[in-house]
Parts: sequence; C-alpha cells; structure tokens
Amino acid sequence: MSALKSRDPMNSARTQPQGGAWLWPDPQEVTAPAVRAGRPVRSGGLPASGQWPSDPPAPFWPPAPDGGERAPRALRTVEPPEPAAFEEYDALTLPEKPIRGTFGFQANPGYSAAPAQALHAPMPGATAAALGAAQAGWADPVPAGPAPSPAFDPSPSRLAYRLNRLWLTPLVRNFLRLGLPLLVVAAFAGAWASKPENREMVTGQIAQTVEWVQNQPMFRVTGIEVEARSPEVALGVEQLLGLSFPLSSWDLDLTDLRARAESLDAVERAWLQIRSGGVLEVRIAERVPAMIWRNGEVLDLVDDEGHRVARLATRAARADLPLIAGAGAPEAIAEAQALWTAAAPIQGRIRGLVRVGERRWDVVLDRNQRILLPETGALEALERVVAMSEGAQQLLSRDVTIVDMRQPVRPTLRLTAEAMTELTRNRTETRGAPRR
Amino acid sequence: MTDLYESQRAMRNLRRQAMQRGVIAVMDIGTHKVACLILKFGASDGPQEGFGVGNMAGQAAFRVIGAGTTCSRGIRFGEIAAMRETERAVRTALQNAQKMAQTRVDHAILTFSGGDIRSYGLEGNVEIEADRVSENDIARVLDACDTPDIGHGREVLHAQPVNFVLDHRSGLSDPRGQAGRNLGCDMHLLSVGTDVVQNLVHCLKRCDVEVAGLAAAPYVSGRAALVEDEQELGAAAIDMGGGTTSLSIFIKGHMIYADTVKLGGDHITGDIAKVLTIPYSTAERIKTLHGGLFATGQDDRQRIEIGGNSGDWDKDRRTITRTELIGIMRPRMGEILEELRARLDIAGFDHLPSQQVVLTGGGSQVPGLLEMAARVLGTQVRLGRPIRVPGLPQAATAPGYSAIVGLCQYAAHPQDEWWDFDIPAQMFAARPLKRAMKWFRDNW
Repeated sequence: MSALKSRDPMNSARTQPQGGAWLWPDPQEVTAPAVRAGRPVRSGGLPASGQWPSDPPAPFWPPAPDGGERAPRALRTVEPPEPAAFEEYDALTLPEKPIRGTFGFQANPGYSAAPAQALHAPMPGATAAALGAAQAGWADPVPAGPAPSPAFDPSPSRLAYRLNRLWLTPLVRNFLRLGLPLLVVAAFAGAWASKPENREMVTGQIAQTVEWVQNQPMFRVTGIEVEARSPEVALGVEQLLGLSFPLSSWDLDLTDLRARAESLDAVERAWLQIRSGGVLEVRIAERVPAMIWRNGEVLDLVDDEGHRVARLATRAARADLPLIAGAGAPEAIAEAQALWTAAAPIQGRIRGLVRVGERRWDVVLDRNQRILLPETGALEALERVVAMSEGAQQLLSRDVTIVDMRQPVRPTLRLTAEAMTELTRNRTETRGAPRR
Repeated sequence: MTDLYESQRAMRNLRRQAMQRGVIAVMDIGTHKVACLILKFGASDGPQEGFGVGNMAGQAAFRVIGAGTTCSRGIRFGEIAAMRETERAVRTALQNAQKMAQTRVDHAILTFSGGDIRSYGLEGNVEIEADRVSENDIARVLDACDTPDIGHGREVLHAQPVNFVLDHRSGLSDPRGQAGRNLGCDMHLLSVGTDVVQNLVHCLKRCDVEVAGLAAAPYVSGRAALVEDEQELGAAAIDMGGGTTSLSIFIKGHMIYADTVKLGGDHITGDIAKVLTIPYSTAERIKTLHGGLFATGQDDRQRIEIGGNSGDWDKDRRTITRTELIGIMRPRMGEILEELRARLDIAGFDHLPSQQVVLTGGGSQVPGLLEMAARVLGTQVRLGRPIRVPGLPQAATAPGYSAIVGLCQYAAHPQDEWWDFDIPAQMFAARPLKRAMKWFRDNW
C-alpha cells in the first residue's frame, strides 16, 4: 500500500506530512523518489548559482549501485569541527535547513532516530517488484511529479522584489494594514445601512433594548408617598402629579414633577426622591396662611409673602387671622402686617384693612369707623391715631366716622350727623347766638 | 571635469537627502560576496561624542538596522561580468537587509575594488587674494592642481586634499583663516574605469535604488581596519578579497596611495580545484576548513577526504594530506604577497616613518598568513578586523566585512573631497551677474 502511495504524484515530494507525525517507516526511503527519465537530478561540478561555493555539494540521486551514497557519510566522520570564523562567516545567510535535494546527506531527525535495519526492512504490503527496484536504487520509470530544479536560486524575482519594497513603504503598508480594512468595513456597513428597513430594525432593536433595561425590577416605581402637614395638601399634590403606577424610574422627570407639585398654591417647596423599594417620596413644605384676603366675592388665605394659599369658605373658619381687602392688597401684605401689629391696642375693634386704589390703606373698625392712612408714613399715622384713641382723648370711642390721616400734618375727623348737630348747638349756646 | 564635479555633487546631495530621511544602504559588491547594510541615522543609543568620549568620526550618528549577505554572482575581479546575475545577487542582499530592517531604502552607497584603480599625487600653488586664507583660496588652490592625463574612459573616484602648504609651513590640515601669501596643496586623486562604474550604477538602478555615493574598496577597508594611530603614523591596509587584493596606504589620516592586484582567494581555490581535479565548491570547502600556509609534521599524517560524485569509486575515495593542500596554496599566496610587495615598493612604502601592514579581508583568514606576510612585507604585520559600529551583526564582524564597515564610516563622516569646495568665483556664473549689477549701479 505504501509503495503504491509513493507513486502518487501528490505524495512523491519528500516533505513532512501536513500537521502530523512522520510516517514510519517512510515509504520514500524505500522507493526512490521519481526522477524524470534520462536526466540526473543534480549534476556535480560547478556550484549552483546562488549557493556559496563552500557549501556541501548536494549529493545526487539515485545513488550509485555500488553504494556511492555512503561517500558523503564517510566524509562526515573525519571532518573536524568547523572553525569559528567559518561559522560566523556563513551564519548571515546560510539557510538552516538544506535547501533542496540533499537526500542522503542531511539526515532528518526521524531518519536518524530509527534503527538502522528498519531502513531496509521489507515493508508490509510492498510488492516484490517495487522492493527490488528500491533496493537496486532505481525508481520505476513512471514519471511522477515535477523534478526538483537542479539549481536553487535564492534571489527574488524582479516582481517579488518590487512588491516587497512596496510592502515596506510606510504609506502603502499602513494603508493596507489599517486603511483598507477600515474602508471595506465602512463600505459594507454603509451598504447595509442604506436600506431603510435595516435602519428601522436597528432603531427598533435599540428601543426594545432600552425599554427592556428600563423595565427591570430595580427601576420599577410602585407607589407615591407624600409627606405634608395637612392631608388635604398631600392628597392635592398626589392628584396633581397624576401618576399611575407602576412605572419605570427612567420615565419620571423629577424636575418636572417638582415644578408641578410646586404649582399648587399651598405648596411652598417640594422635595422629590425615589427611595429604595420603588417609592416616590414627595416631601412638601406648605405655605403658612398669614391673612385672609377678601377678593371680590371670595375669601382667600394668603401667606406672609402675599401668595395665595387656599380658598376659605367662611370668615369664621379662620377668625384668628386678620382680613385684608381691595385690589393689590396681597402685594402690600408686609405693610398690612406692620399696621396690624401697630394696631394691637385696638385689634379687637378692627374688622379689616382695605387697600384703596392700590396706594394706601384704610383701617376699617366696627361702628362704621374708618381710619384713612396716607400712602407714606402709614405706620406713624396709625400709631398717632392709636395714641389719640388710647390716651385721654379716647378718639375712637367718640362719635367719629372717619379719621382722615391722609395729610399727616392736618388730621381730619368726620363726625356723625348727630354729633355735628350737637356740636353746632353747643357752639351756639356757648357763644350765646340766637336760635334760628 | 565639470561634468564629474556636477555628478559627484549630485551624489553628495542625494547622500545628504537620504541622511535627512534617516535611512541609507551601504553595499559592498565584491567578487566573493555581495553585502548590504542599512544604516539609520540619528537613532544610535551608543556613546555620544563629547562626554568623556573622544572623536568618534561620526560613528555615534548611525546604527546598523539591517544586514544582508549573499554570495555574489556574475562578478569577476570586482567588476560586473554578467549584469543580470549581479542584479539578482544585489536584489537578494538588499531584500534580506530590508526585511531585517523592516524599511525600504532608496539610496545606496557603493564600494567596489574593480576598475583598475590608479592613484596620482597632484600639487597646486596659488597666491592668496587677501592677507588671510579664505574658502575661495582653498577652492582656487584645489583648482590649480595640475590634472594628470588619467586616460581615456577613466573617471576620478576620489580627489582628496591631503596636505596644505602655506608659505614655508607644510603639514597643515586646515589653513583657513591663517595669514600667508602663497598657498599650496597636495591632492590625492584616484581614478577608475568609467564603464565599471557605469555598470554598477546601472545595476543598482535596475534594482530601483539610487547610487548616493561611490568609494574605492581599499580606501574604505583601510578606514575600517586601521586604528587611528596607524592612520596617523602611516600604515598599509591590504584587503584580500575573492577576486582582487587591494592595497591602500594611509598617513596623517589621509589615504595617499591605493592599488589593486587582480589576484585573490578565488585563485587559490581555483588552484586547488585544478590540481586535485575536484569541483570548485569542494575546493572552496577544503580550503576554508583545512587550508594553511605552513606545513608541520602533523600535517603529513592528517588526511583529508576529498569526496566526489563522479561515479568512479577510486576517484571519489581519494584523500590528500594537509601538507599537499598547503603545498598547493602556498605558492599562490606567495605570488599575491610578492605582487603586493612590488606595489608597495612602487608607492615608496619603505620611506614612510612607520611601516605597519594590516591584513584584512576574507582571504586573510588563512592560518599562517601572518608569518608568511611578515617574511615578504616586513616585520610589522598584523591581522585587522573592522572597527565595531553600533548595531553591526556578529556575523558581519569578520575581516571580510572591513570594506562595508569602512563604508558605513565613510557615509557618516565623509572626508573632504575636491568637489566639496565651491567652484572658484572666476569660473562661476555669479561673476558676470555681479558685473552687470555694478554697471547698473554706476550708471543709474
């Protein structure tokens, strides 16, 4: 079988089997490699071009029948070790392996490690004729495979040399190693992306993935928890936010939610936080109502900055808070509070403060009394009125309708009609004027 | 002469350009081997000049990054005999070196020993123009050197000013800026056959490489094999190559004589092959392994298998003694040395103050050559190896690589040549222009 195999032109080249161990015994050792008829593989004599003249001569094949192939081995045994200078001299370019055709001379490792008699042991399955031919040293006359060229030329061809130089040119080399692959990849990617369905598929995939990630349990928000002082506000904020759970924390825009929560009048400030456990926590700082503002037909609570807090159904619901009225009253609430504080001695009598013409304040008392305060210096004017009322004059206990302090240098009183009549009568009697 | 001046200047510009680019190849195209080294300039990590290190003659400037050697083909006596074959060998060496260096080279500096090198000593003399010697005076004195008849079809390869004389003071290396009246100059001129050079340049051009410089092998191998003292005091470097044996004499740091003998190691191999009727390759092998020049009693007993593949058993079983081999090699080596002796006598080597002879080249590795050369050439003989340059492969430190290592030095630190100085102003085209400008200024 091996002998037959050796005649196969594909196997006749004496090369190492691809990716495997050596065939042993090597069929090529027994049957000589095929030779082109009538032509020796290697003619001795002049050195081949491209080989150092001092190289060992390539033995020729087939060996002479009288054992001529032993000659190189005999030569080898008496060779002294080569001088160092020679090794240095040749080490630069001498090939490590024999170039070609050195069959008997450079023993390969598998060859030398084998027992000697195995070389000539008959191989199983080899025909007697083939064996006889092999031992006689002559191959079958069947031409098989290309004969190795007699002269090995190490020089590169002109084309190979130029290509090699081209390859060593940095620009070409960088382009081929980096630019061209990138271009090819970019071209394929561009061609693929030029179809709309592909682009849609990609965007769809991305959206799907994003959705999948956002719907993971760790991002799920299942409830809301509003902390406010009054349950009404808490409920109001919850309804205002209008969230339907469960939803993903990626869908919650906390800044927006906070703005929405703070758009409720009663809310001064809101803090939002997604707590662990999937709870949206909203902490509310409520506005504290400072006064009641009669705004037309309705009553509104306003805080100390004049901001509306809530609607009030009846005045009696918050009887503790002072009442203000008139257009533009909440804007001047700081002045109103100062006036309210200054009017502490007559607080029990005050029904409210009225903003007149968005300029000045009137203090409305019971018994239809009214104190008209100036635009500037209202506080001092009120204090004067309070002082006149609390002191010996007891101004407000008298039959006065209006205390007009609009001209602080000239306070004016308006008396009731009866008081006026009485005053006239008194004056007349005092002067002794005749009655009319 | 102007043509040569221009071509040498063009090569010098190419060399500068290549050095600016950083990579240049040096090639030794010899009879036995074609070697190529690729030098990278500005990348040496070796010692730098100036910090406890003396003048390194430009060696610190470069590093060898690629080397390739192949056996030469188609070359006889250092000259191209078969252009295509030589081209293949050059391609092989260049490609190996480029592969090792991982870069391509476009410029190469060549050295060769063929072309029948002849050397001439010239001298010139001028009165200097001002009271001090200027660059222009140097150019004038170089131009005033009387040109010998170098023969038809020959070209100047090197023209190096080796000595300047100012009035009565001789031995000046750089007279610029010195006061004096009469400036003289000695110049060494080396001529080669034009065709040989043209062939080499054409061969390199076919390999897509521009020749950026040419140097004679004896000169560069002398630069590599002689140490500085020997170059100063006077010495002869003998480069024993395959086809030629070349000879150069140095004194005061300059080459003053160069010559070649068309005999070399290949002739010894040929003798062995002819006498023993064995193939040339076998003869080369026997010569390299067993060769020698002095026979001892032991050599009679040492038998060398010749081998052969003639098919004749008796012929292929022959052995010779080493004495016989020495007997073949010795006369030829003697002939080479006698020839060299004759050339040295012609050059007047006997009159030099120091008579050091340095043998280098691949042929100088024959055992016993030292003793034999000492008998023929004089007592002061030594074997020379090339100087060490940064990055040189171990395999290229053998004596056979003296020429190419010297060529590296030459590339990094070229000696001033005649064409490195400007043409004197009288010959230059700027003069009429100047006169026109003067006329213009005077009249307007």
